[in-house]
Amino acid sequence: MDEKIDLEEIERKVWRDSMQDGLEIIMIGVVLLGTSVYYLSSVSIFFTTIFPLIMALPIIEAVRRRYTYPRTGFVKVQADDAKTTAGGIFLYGVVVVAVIAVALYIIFGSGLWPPYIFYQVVPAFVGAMLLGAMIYTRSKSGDPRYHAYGLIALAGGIAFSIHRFAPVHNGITFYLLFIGGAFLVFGLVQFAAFLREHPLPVGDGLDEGE
Amino acid sequence: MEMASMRGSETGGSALPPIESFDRLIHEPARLLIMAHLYVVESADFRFLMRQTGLTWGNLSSHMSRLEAAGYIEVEKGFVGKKPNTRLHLTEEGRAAFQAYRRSMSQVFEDLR
Repeated sequence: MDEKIDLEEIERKVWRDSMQDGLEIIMIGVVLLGTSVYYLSSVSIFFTTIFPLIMALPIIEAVRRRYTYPRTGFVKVQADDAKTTAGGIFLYGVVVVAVIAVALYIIFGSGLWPPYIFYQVVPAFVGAMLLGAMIYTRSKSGDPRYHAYGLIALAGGIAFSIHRFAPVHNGITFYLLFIGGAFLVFGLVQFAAFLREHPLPVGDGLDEGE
Repeated sequence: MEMASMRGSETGGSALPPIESFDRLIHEPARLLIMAHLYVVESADFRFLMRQTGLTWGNLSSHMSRLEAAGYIEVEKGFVGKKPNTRLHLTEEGRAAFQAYRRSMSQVFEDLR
């Protein structure tokens, strides 16, 4: 056995392998798409966004029991401290808001900003928050594709914020449709690739009893 | 080991840790790999560890038994659907033993510079 024992690399590989089925990305796409449905229709936000968010983890676990664990096995990674994570997200959000505020100041100066501007920057804010989530995932897993997902989210957010939609909140709706659809496609492609690369094992002695 | 001992006596500084301080249960390469993987997770099942470590079922099972007998890991047998499933995680003792092993090995390589 000549593998180098690098605990950090082992942890990154474990994270990478635990997420290679793309199910988290699919669920992010579903929640974002659902939120756009809320803006487009009269369906309650509970059904379009809140319920999918609540059910995300149980659904992911159920799908993993059916498709992932029989192929690559079960692992529960060590979760970061919840308070630290929440604090980090809040701090990152504050930084994003500050950056957006500086950008608006540069564009509009110190005078009164038009009231629609707060709706118009929402796509950029959402894109930046998604970028942060993807950067975190990349740092944990070492998988560069999450950087790509995050950059697409940010670029799309900025593009939808720059473009003037009428009415202005259409920008939010269409951005959520765009990025939700994109994440759903990314996740489904990952899932399909996972199923192809990891056929159900036969004869490894584990199905008869461990 | 002999050179390091001479260095230690010449400088009067720290010598290598005594050989009995190395946990031989963990020091075996396959068990070291198993412990390293369990150290970075909360729990994992047999299939996952087999894929990550490259060990065969028989090899993994044998080393698991020794680690379980030493109290370093806990084995939980259950079912996923109708299929039996074995999940493992490090005990507090196992985690402490692995951390102590890492410190010993770090000391070895520090003293060998």
